[in-house]
Amino acid sequence: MTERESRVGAWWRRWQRGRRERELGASRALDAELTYHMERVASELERTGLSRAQALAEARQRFGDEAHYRRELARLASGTRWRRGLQTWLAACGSGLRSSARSLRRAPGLAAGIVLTYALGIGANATVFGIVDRLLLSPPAHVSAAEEVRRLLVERDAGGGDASSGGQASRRVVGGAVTMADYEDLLAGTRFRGLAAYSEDRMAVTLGRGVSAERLPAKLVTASFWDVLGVQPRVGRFFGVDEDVAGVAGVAVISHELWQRTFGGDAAVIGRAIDLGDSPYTIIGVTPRGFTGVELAPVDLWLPARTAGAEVYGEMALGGRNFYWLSILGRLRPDTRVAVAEEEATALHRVGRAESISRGYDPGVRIVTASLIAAEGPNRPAEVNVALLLALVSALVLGVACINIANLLLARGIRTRRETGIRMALGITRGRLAAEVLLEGVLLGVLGGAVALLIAHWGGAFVRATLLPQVAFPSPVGLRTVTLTAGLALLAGIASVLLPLREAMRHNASDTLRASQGAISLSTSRSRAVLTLVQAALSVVLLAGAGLFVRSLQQARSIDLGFEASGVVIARPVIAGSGLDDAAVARLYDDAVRTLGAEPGIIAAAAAANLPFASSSAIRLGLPGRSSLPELPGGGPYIHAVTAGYFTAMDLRLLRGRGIASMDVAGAPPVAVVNRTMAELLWPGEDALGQCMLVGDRVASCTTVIGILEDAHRQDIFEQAEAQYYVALAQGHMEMGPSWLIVRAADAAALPIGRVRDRLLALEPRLPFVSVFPMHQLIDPQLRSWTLGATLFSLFGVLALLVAASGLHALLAFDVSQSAREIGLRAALGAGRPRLLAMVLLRALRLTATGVVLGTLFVWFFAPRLAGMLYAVSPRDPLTLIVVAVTLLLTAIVASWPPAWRALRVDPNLALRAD
Amino acid sequence: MRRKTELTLLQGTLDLLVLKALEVGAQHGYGVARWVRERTSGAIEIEDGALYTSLHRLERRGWVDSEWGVSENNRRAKYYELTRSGRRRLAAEVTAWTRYAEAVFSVVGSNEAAS
Repeated sequence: MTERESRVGAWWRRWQRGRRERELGASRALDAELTYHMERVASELERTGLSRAQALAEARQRFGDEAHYRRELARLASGTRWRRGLQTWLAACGSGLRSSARSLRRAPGLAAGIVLTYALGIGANATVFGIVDRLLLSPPAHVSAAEEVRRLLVERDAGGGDASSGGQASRRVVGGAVTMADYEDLLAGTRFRGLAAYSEDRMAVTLGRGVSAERLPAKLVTASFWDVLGVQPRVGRFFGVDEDVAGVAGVAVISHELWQRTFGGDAAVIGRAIDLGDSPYTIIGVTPRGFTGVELAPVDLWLPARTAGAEVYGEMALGGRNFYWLSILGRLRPDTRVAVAEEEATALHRVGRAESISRGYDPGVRIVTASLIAAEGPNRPAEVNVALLLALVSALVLGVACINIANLLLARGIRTRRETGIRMALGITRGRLAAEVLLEGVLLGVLGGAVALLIAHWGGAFVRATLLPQVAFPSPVGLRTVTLTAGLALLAGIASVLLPLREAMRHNASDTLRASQGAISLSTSRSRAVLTLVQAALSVVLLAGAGLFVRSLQQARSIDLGFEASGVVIARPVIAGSGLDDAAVARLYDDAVRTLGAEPGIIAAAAAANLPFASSSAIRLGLPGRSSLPELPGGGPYIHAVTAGYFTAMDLRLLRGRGIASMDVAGAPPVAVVNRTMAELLWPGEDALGQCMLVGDRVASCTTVIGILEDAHRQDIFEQAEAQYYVALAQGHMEMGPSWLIVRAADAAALPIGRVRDRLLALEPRLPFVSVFPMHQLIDPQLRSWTLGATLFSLFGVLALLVAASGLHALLAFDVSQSAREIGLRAALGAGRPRLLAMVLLRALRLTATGVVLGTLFVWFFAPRLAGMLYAVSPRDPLTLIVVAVTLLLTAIVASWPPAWRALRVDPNLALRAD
Repeated sequence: MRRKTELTLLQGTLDLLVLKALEVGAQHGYGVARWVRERTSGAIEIEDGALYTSLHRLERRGWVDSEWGVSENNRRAKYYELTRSGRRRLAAEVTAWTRYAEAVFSVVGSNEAAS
């Protein structure tokens, strides 16, 4: 009770005094206090015989710099408690920052190293996040209220869902294009505020003519497309319903990028007519910058679906249910549930498709919807999974970087221990010390983050250009990336100083002052060793991942496609808009094959109607005396109409007989070359050579098999062998006109792309454009997910390895310098050089080997989860693991050699005398 | 004539001395200054300004409480007094300081013995 009273009493007194002082003013209270003091001191001195003036002077002398102390005292008294607290805190921050800046300046190499390490670690994350964000997390740019917009997708049974094959529970597939009629069926519904259709493929449209012509990616979209997405034009307007009709004068909306690139951003571009192949289009609007519709690839031209569709594809694109070319979008009414909208769309679709459903085609078909955000939709592209994995990997890289920095700071902490001890004896509080360590970490992290943004800017541009050329990125480093970078910088800055912080907190002045430089606390040394070990383990994980992806890429690259794409140039004259008739086109191809074939440095030139990985077709095929042919899962047999040089140009391997030759002309007996699979499929156990085939509408006359080829892939790196055959282009099978030129160059490293284009334009100046590109361009996109994985994984793996190596080097160099005395002692006691060298190297190897074992165990248990992303390589591939382990151990030896060498040169005398 | 400073004082130590000066009971600043000077026999010179700064600082930390009162010569003076947490602090500081001093002495003392 009394205690309570006294406490209340104290509080009351303090409050009273506070009030009094507030009334009096803090400075007057201080005046009173100090005046009293001076008086007392002076009168005391007067008693010793000094004069009044002398006594006052002495009193002032004893007080010290009065102005200074008054300032100090005023500062102590100023403000409320809370404000004082904040001020002190800010002051501590300020002085903390100053002191960390000072300590960083003292070791600029260390600071630069740390900032660079952060920059690489954070930069890797920012770069990958930029990609993941665009591929996966962000809604398409410029779409308003994107969460209301859904893709409408057809879900059907896999494999065509023929009723006759039914019965078993079959796999469902989602996606695929629909016809214009399918789209129009859905317009009767009420659950969507608006529906729009757009062409699934990007078409290439020629703008301009001849050498200055450009091929531009174009999309055909219905007039409702703009409303459904809620996008606003940058300049001009978008087209309306009355402009999206077959046969009307064409209008076009161009991209901001095309507007800038080709029209110099001139607003007068509106109303300008542009030449797109066969007919002129008038530009009426420009999309906002970075708008790519709802897909990732850049689009330069937006054309009305019905106007341009009828022109490009013919009437079949607008009517009928056989021409599949559109994808559908819908904006939901705000109060509508997705399931309800799907149900209605399914009902409408099934009504429209009633006839084919009744024939047993796609009996279980329904419409499902999906978000515009790729991560939430079905049919994620392979790159997406790899990008997600890379996000994880870049986080690991940052982890390695933080560990390394923690290690460096710990080492520095030991080196500056004496200084810290002195400062603590001088009265600096632990809290203050901790704040300084934290601030220094944050300062370094933020500096690193700033550099990381630069890395993300340049590195991101590089990665996008080389690895994801098909994806348009609206801005190099987006706001979300900057936010993430800032967050990571803070987090990493703090994470890296946690261990040094613990060390600092353990200090107390006497221990610290007592500790001599030679004696490193055991726990510090151990935590640094553990950090080094973890770094090694993480490096193993990253390098193993890199190895697995590189091996997958190698395996996928080395798949025998049956033809050799290296050294092959593909040329495709654009006929639309040239005014050439069929005969002229045929003559052009003839001339082109002859001219190009005679060029120096070109081994062979050929023309063909179809091209592997680009186009293929199948026509009716019969065998005399057989009513039906056996079928393969991939369909077919597929027909290729080719000229004589085709087999050489593609480097196809003839097994028996002969290929198509120049004597196989119109009027000569029709001939065909079949591939091995087709020979075995159609004439099992018989000789295919000399057999008779009835090709297309030529049912009366035999096309004789004159050769058998090794199988070649038709359109996919991973396809099953398919039945394919080759006929002579000159023998004119129906609708098999030439559309590709294939040129094999002698030197695969220097493809004659410009030369081929020049020769073709010289042959026929009326051609608006000639596409010329390496054959690899058709195949590489299928390898992209591995290329992406292999490149970035390797980059990150090497980064982690370098960081870990520098960490190991720093650890050993530090240990050697700190244990110079011990080494000197050993040297003095007669330990030979090899012994000393081994001592240091063994420590390095022991640490690394433990890390390797841990990392390998981790890979062993977790790599099988990657199996889906790898190709033809075991996730526990022993070769990869061995190479990684050896790499790490070799790196450890290289990294520890300089410190080991330094250990040898420790002079026993100096070392012993030093203490 | 100003005497030469014989020992410079560390901040933490000054606070300790001030706390110790208040251990026996409430004192005004002048009293604290005199007490310190007498106890150290002038071996440690402390500027009075530093002493007041220390008093105010300790007050802000809640280790010392102050009150205006009437002094022995009948003038108004500000009296300082240890709070409960101030007493605890004093005890802790004394222990830490003793250990520190012993540690330093064990080093310094042995060196003297060796030379």
